[in-house]
Amino acid sequence: MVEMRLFFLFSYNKKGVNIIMRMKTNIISAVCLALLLVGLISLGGCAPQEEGAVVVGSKEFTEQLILGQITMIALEHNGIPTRDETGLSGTAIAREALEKGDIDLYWEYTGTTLISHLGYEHPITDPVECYNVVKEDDLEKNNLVWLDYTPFDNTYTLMMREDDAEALGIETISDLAGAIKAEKADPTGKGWVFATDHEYAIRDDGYPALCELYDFEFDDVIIMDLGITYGALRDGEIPVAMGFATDGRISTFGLVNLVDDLQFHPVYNCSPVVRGDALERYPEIADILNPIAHQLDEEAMSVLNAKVDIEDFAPQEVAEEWLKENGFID
Amino acid sequence: MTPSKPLRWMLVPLALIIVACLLVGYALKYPTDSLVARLITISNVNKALKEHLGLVFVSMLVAVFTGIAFGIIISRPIFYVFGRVIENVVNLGQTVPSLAILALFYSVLGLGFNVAVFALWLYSILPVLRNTYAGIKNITPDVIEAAKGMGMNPWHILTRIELPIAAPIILAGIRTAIVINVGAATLATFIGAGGLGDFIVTGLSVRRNLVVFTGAGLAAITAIFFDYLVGLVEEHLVHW
Amino acid sequence: MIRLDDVTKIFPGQKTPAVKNLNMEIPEGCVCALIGPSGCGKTTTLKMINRLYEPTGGTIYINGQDVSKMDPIELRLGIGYVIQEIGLFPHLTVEDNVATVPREKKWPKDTIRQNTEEMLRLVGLEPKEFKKRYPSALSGGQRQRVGVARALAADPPILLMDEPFGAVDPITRTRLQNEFLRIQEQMQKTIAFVTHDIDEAIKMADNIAVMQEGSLVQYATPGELLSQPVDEFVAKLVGSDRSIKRLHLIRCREILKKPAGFLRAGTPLEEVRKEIENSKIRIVLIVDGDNMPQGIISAGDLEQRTGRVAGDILREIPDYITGDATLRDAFSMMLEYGQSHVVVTDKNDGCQGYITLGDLLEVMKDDDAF
Repeated sequence: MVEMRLFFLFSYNKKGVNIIMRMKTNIISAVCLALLLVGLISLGGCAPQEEGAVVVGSKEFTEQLILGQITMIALEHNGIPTRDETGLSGTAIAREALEKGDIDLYWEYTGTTLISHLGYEHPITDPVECYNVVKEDDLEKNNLVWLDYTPFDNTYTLMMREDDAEALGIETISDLAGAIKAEKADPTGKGWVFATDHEYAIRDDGYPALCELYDFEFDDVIIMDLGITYGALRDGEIPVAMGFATDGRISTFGLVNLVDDLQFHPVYNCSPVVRGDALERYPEIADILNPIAHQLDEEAMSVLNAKVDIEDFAPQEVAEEWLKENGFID
Repeated sequence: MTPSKPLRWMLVPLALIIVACLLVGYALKYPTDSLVARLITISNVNKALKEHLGLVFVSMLVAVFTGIAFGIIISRPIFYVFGRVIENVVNLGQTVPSLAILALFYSVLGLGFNVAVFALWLYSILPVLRNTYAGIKNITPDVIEAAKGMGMNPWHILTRIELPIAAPIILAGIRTAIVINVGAATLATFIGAGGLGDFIVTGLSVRRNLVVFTGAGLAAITAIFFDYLVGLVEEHLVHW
Repeated sequence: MIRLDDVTKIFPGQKTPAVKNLNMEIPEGCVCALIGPSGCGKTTTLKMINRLYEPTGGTIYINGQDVSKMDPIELRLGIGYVIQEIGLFPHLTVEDNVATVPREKKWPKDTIRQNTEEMLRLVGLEPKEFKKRYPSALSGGQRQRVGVARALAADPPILLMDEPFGAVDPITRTRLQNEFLRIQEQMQKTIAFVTHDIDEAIKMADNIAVMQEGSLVQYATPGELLSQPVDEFVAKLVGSDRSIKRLHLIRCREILKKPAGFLRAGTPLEEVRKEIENSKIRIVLIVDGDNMPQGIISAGDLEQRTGRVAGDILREIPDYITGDATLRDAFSMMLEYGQSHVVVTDKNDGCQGYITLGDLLEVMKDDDAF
């Protein structure tokens, strides 16, 4: 099975979904454990640090690579020397590298740290509350500083085709629940079928709880790979599918995220996490990165992801272009 | 005392079924948490098994018929070139990972059963086709010539001489195909065709090893089961 | 009757013809051997008769009918075909192998079963013991017998055989040849067979066709071939030991001598002596209750050996020969066992008589006998 999963990682690495990667990393944690050792050894064996340089890390998927590049370009532009350690394989390795001081900074998702690193059992679905909890805890326990977070929330999302949603007047999940309960005809003509990946279909905080909270039920549920839900939705195979909110294919395929108006899904807003000692050396890091974070909403991030995943640009090019467009560099 | 033949034949399938029951029974009785209990239910196992067997059955049936048919065609001297082309195309199909085949065809054939059957068919036809071809080509030319010289018509030469002599090799091909097929059918879950892969992939994604183990175990038992069945057929057909 | 009229075969892509301008006729009920070095076109000729190969030029007639105008399947069903033992169908029992052609002809099941058993008996295989066996459970000689039984099953008037006794050891080959001659005597088939063994050809055939590089060099009876080879090639083929080969032309039963008596082992020596003295012949044969030979006693033995009854002084005979065997076979046996006589015995009728080395020399000296 491990081999199979690896193939999947591989196949989507080139052209596909950044966010799948995060989920896949969970799945191949066994592999990660093995890689952890190798990774740490190789990090430890690195050349002596350039005096004063800020070491920027990231996980290995598209969104993270773009955020890493944005960070480095912005810091260098403001005269802060940086060193590139982006592309670490998986959350566990990136976090450990930060805690040990092998890297000084990387972008992390609030919901991930809450559960995976701070040991909370239940997700928090309010973005502000979640951010505050993580920010306070991490500073207190680990001397890690969470700078301002992005408006984009890379969490589970329910998607429809934009045209269908407009025609049916559906903007939120409550609207969808209403339409289904009112027995409105679905856009595919095959019934209100919901496409989901395996994990979301069964998780305690996934599909079963969603139905409970919004008090509705689909006619049928098809379980498939996450990578396929976007395409199946575009092709009119199914009326509604789940995905991840900042995936590049949402904008490219003419899909739309339904607003989670009851705040059901855990939040995964993203924020630069900096080591306290690095921030002491360069306090201006906060002033440089905060405005950038504020600019990154779901649409912006989705477009950036699409440029790398679907149009095959390098993360560095995409980052530089976006920073220029938004006036952060010239 | 050795058990009688039918009893001996029943022994292995019976043992496999018992192991499968124990496996599912254990998961039902001792779920590690509520998530596992929700995943592994009698009806879920039934559904997944039915879907899996459906996929395997339909795709194997088509693969056996088309594989043998193509194998016969390409063993005819007239179709030599045509046959080479078919073999190469199918060969190529085999080298593409099964997941990629799924991904390739889902946009054309849609989601679910049909595309999964198609991919599984493409995947399991090769061993059948190649073994049919090899089985027929391996027959001593003298045997065919004797048949022809004695006045057998081409249809009888094929059905009474070539196919029966090639049968052990063809059946070996079917056995290979069926094992590949049962294994590859666990991937059908990725395109919404269900099957035992549902357990494996879900179990992996929520890190519930018991669920993975149940799905993978059932798939393995299914593979051994069918392999054994075809082996019985082989034993039954081949005396010389 | 088979007639080849100016038959030529050129295989596609080859310049020299495999068979060129072949004219010959095999009369009804005759055995014709095609002989020559490998590549001389003998097998090709054979396969053109049942249209496994189509001639490039010329015509082949069977009983006056042009075979190219006949349906090939029909034609082949009327011609028995024997090839080396590997031509048996490995996945079918002996019974099913033999029943192949009758089934193609859609005979009734009962008839097929009876016929199969009859055929197996004809070639000397006990049906009960052999019919359910697979070819892999048979010896080379047994397989060859099944091959013959299969070819004869539908009683075809014509038989084509491609090195029918090629794949067995010399002793078995001799035995199979002799049995085949016995069968042929009953059936009187028209037979064409390919061989590379000149001894076999001389022994078995009424006519021998010697081929070289696709052409017929000489077509003659074995006697003619031995006495008047047309050229150096044929002379070399028949070899320098022609007079020994001539021995193939006479069957043992034709010259065997009756002994002074067939006696039992328990006969007192007095009586043996009396038998020999009363007759001009100085040999008696000792036989058992089934009239099968046990030993031989000559007048000389009576002088040199002592004992009370015949069994005490008989000289055992290691093997015997059938009446169908040729004198050449008898000669081989004498050389093999270093004895100056062989006993001739038929399976059914028991001991027939004996032949001595002197008899053979007599025959060879008298050239007119041929």
